[in-house]
Amino acid sequence: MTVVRTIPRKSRLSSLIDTSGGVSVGVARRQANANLEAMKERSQALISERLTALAALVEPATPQDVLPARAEAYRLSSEIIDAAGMFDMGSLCQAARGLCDYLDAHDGQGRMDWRVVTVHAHSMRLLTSLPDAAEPQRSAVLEHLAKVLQHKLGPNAAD
Amino acid sequence: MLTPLLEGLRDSAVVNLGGAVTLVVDDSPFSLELTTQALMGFGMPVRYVCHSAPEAMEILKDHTVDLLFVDVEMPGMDGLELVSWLRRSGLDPNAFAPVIMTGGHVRKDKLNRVRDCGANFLLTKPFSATTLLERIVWTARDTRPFLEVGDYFGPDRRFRSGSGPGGVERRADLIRKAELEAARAAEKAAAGDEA
Repeated sequence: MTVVRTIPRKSRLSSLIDTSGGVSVGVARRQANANLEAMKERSQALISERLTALAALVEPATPQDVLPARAEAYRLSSEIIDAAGMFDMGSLCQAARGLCDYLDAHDGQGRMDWRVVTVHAHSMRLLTSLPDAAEPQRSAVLEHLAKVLQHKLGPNAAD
Repeated sequence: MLTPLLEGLRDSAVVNLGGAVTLVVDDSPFSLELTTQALMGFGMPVRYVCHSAPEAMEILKDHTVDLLFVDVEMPGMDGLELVSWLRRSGLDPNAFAPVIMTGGHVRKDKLNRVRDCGANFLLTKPFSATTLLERIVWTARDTRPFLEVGDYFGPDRRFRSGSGPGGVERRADLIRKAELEAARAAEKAAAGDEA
């Protein structure tokens, strides 16, 4: 038999949020967006740096090299999501997440197709260079990457 | 466009987050700064920032915190271990503090652990400042009790119908029940048409 103990608990945050003072939701959002906008240039520089490093990774020559190379590619791809994650760069995040999924699915034991890393690195670079209005091209790149992952990971690649 | 949760929280609604003591834990300096800047925009000064779980543990032992933002992936002790430790730490009131976990990519083997570590929920990137604010407000208004069940200690993992952040029922038994009722209703309607 499993014993369940319920502890009713009200957080201090729940009382604080309704105390007098504070800011309106509109002002809060505007201020936060302004603060983030000030960091956008640094975000783009960081993304560019990580993409260059990702594209420069070479296919591991020996089985012993696979694990560290995979970890490095995962780290770089995760950092791209971190840097892009609070800006309007959903397509870049989606591509980077796809690569992370692929790398996560390979524990270093089985054969890994390094071309998946290369194609993602170049596709992400392309996504960052497309103008805002190029939505059809962005969708086409993402569709292509989804097909690559589906081919490599099977039909549940996007799950 | 406002998300469903914020529909009741219009631009003119006022929230006071200025008095909340906040702790942000993230090994990535840039990511930590992004979170901090967004929170400051909400009028929520960040009292403590940490680059690792052990650093956060030291702060939590000595200072009361009202809200935590914890990155899932961190080298060494990760965010999930930190939250599990906090919930079982016996530190009152910190053990009951709301925790929002953040992450870029969450590895498959960690997804269940996110659910079991006792965090209030996980926010995966990309997310906007609006979504972050929405989650903070939702967390503040979260009325779920804490449960201790076996190894689990944290907020009740079941959401009441429509009360989750997305307003979507997540309990499998209730989803199945609703599907069954809908199927029965459709059958009844079809039988009525035939008659």
